[in-house]
Amino acid sequence: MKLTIQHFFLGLMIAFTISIVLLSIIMSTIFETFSVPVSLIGQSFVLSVLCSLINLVYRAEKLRFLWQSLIGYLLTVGTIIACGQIFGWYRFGGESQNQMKYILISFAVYSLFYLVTWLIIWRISIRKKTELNEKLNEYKQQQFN
Amino acid sequence: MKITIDQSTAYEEVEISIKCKRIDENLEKLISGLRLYNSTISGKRGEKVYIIKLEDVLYFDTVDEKVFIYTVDGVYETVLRLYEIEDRFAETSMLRISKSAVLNIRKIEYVSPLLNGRIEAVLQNGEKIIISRQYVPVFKRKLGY
Repeated sequence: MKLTIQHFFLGLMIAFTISIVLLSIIMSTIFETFSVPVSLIGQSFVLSVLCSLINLVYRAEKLRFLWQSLIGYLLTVGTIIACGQIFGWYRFGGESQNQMKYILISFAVYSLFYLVTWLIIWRISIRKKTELNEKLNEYKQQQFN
Repeated sequence: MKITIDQSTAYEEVEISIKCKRIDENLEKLISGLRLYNSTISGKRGEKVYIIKLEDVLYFDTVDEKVFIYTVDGVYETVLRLYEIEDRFAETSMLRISKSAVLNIRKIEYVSPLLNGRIEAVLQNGEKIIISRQYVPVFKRKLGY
């Protein structure tokens, strides 16, 4: 339980930091302003809390990693779009007919971000596998010698 | 290292004595191997009780509060609780790997870290067993990782 709470707060910290950085980039590039409204920071915090809660799906030991990834991805992308709709992010600086375009952009950006993260974790896992098996063989050899 | 073997029909029991300046890591592992060789555990299959060498055990697993011994030759039931097995064979290659299992590390063919922090161990008989996230640090320490 303690580890799950730690995992939640770590996830919250990472998600909130990423969302603030992304917000700053969006505000400065699209809206050409160097300030972020307080209301947007609050909304980002709500989204970060929800994403961190969804992230706990990766701690469910009974689920296979493929299912964890799929559930995590679908819930997160759904939450981002739902929050965007509720908080009116897709209406920012654009007409209502552009909403679908913004939804698709946010979907594509998040999917790409998820894919890149997944590939990095996968690469690290391959390296760890080699190291662990080397150690295992050393252990077995020492036991038999 | 000098090895002296004194073989005679006069001896009833095998006695191994080690003379050393100090016990180093390699010697500790050798002693652990000897303990494993010398250790046995009784297991019930059907109406018969068998004496099983610890070196033949792949792993111990709990199902419906009963503890079973898994070997290449078959499955046996033991009256010992999992924590008793863990304590009794603490200085051997037996290691607690989840709330319900104790694994003989020497019987692992190779391991694959899963992307959710757990490790999958493939045993010499091709069986796969999961090392839960909570026990992964202990497993790594045991290997000297």
